[in-house]
Amino acid sequence: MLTTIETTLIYTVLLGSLYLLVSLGFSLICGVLRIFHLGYAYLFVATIYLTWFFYHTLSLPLAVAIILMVILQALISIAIYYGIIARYLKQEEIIITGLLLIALIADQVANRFYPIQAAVYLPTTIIPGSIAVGSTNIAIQLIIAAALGIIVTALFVLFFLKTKTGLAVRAISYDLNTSKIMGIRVEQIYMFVMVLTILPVIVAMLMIAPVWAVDPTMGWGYMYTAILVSVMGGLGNIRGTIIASYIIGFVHAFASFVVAEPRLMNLAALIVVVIMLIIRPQGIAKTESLW
Amino acid sequence: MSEILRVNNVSKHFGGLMAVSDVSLSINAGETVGLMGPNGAGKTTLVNMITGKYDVDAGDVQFMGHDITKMPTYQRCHLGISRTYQIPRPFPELTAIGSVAVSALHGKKRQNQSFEDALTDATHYLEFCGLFSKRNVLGKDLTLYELRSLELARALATTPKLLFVDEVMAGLNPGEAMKAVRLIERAKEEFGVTILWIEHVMAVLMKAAQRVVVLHYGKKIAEGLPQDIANDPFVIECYLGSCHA
Ligand SMILES: Nc1ncnc2c1ncn2[C@@H]1O[C@H](COP(=O)(O)OP(=O)(O)OP(=O)(O)O)[C@@H](O)[C@H]1O
Ligand SMILES: [Mg+2]
Repeated sequence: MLTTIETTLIYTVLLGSLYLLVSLGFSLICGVLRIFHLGYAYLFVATIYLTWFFYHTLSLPLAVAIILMVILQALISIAIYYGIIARYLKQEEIIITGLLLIALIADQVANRFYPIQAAVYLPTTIIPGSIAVGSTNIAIQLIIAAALGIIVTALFVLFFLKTKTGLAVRAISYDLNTSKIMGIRVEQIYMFVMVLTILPVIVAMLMIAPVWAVDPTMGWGYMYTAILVSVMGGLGNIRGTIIASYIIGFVHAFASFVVAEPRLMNLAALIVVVIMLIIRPQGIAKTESLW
Repeated sequence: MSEILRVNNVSKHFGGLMAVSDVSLSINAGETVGLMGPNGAGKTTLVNMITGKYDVDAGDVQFMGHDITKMPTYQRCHLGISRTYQIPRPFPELTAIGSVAVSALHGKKRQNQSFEDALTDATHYLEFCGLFSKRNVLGKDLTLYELRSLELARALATTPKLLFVDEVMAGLNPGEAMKAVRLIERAKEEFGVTILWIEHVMAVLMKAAQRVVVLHYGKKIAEGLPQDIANDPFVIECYLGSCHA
C-alpha cells in the first residue's frame, strides 16, 4: 500500500510537470489572444514528424533536424497568425474553424507519409536507462522531461514578470484597448506569443518521443489534457494552469496506480474537472487574466 | 499659436444613433480646451475616434501634420496622444508601478531602456501624482481617487503632447475633486501638455480652459470663451434639456 502511494505521488510530479509543458501554450493563447485554439493539436504532430522528416527521410544529423524543425514550426505559427488570426480578428468562428482545419490537415499529412506502422523513433534520449525511486523504476528521460517542465514554466513566469514584452503580454490579457492606448503594438505581441507557445510543446515532445508511443493522431490525446488543464485552471491563467497540471497529474497517477485502471485516466480527470466546474465555474484562477 | 490637432467633420453612429455628427474642432499647442455637453452628447465617442478606439464613419483627423484618421492606436500614442478614462480602467492585476511602467516602456520609442529604467521612470510619475506610497498596490485594490491619479500617471508616462482628460471629478468628494483638478493643472505646468478636458462642472472649465466647445446630441452647438459659453442662453437651455438643436 505504501509503495502504491509512493508511486502515485512520484507520478503526480512527473506527469504534472509534463502536463505543464503540454498545456502552457494553450493556456497562454486563451489568456492573451482570447482564442480557444482548437488547432493546437497540430503542434505535437508537427514536432515529431517534421523532425523525423529531416532526420530520417533527408538523413540529416539529429541536431540539425531539430533546429530545422524549430525554425519551420516558428514560420508555420507566424503564417497561421497572419493567414488566419490577424486576418479574421473580428470573426472568431472563422478563426476557430481555420485553426481546427490545420490540426486535421497535419494529422492527415503525417498519416499519409508516415502511417502508424512506419516505426517512427526519434533518438532524443539524453540519459538512457532508469533509476529506482523508492520502490519504483522510472525512466531517467522522464525525470529529465519533468525537470525541464518545471524549468520552462519558471522561465515563462520570469519572462512575464521581468521583461518589457512580458509586461505587455500581461497588460493585453487584462485590457486590450487600454494596452493599445498606452502604446503597445498588440499585433506584434500576439505574433510573438504564437511563436513562444510552440516551445514548451517542442520540449515536451522531443523528451517524450523515445519513451512513449507516437502516431499521427497523438496530438488529440495531448490536446485533451491541455483543454482539461486550461479549463480547470481558469482559461488562460498561468497560476491556475500550474495548479491544474498537478491536479490532473495526480488524478491520472491515482487512476493508474491506486485504482490500477490506466484506461480510466481520462474519464477520472474529466469527472474531476466537471465536478470542479459545477462548484467553481470560473476555474481555479481568481481572475480572468494571465497571472 | 500652432495648431496641434485638427478634426474635420467627423461622424460616428452606433446602429441608428448618431453619437457624433459632423463635428470639427481645432486645438492649438499649449491650449486647454474644455469639452462640455449633457450625458450622451458624444464627448467620449469623439475622444475615442481621435485616440483610435473607433474608426470614424466620415471626416478626418490631423495631428501635428500627420493624417491619423486610419492610424493604428499605438502609433497615435507614439506620436503623442494619450488619455485618461472617465471610468478608470486599471490593469487589475498589475501594481501601480507596473501599470505606469507599461506606458514608460511602450508609450514611446526609447533606445536602451531597461525594465529597471522603466520602473525608475514610473516612480517619478507616481510621485508626481501622489501615488508613491501606493506603488506596490494592485490596480483592483486602489480607491477611485487613487485610480484617477493612476490614470493620469500612466498617461503622462507615455510623454503625450496632447492629453484627453475625461471627467476627473465624477464620483469624487469635493475635497478629492479639487485635488484632482489641481493635479491636472500641475501636469500642464510641469509637462507642457496640451489638454482637451471633458467636464460637466462649468466652474472648473471657466478657470482652466481658454476655450470651450459644447456638444449636444452629437452636434457641436457652441464654441467660445468660457464666460461667453456659461452665459449662452442656448447652451443653458440644452443643459436643462429643453433646447432643440
Ligand atoms: N460602443 C457603443 N455602442 C453603442 N452605443 C454607444 C457606444 N458608445 C457610445 N454609445 C452611445 O453614443 C452616445 C454618445 O455616448 P458618449 O459616451 O460619447 O457620451 P458622453 O458625451 O461621453 O456622455 P457622458 O457625459 O455620459 O459620459 C450615447 O447615446 C451612448 O449610449
Ligand atoms: Mg463620456
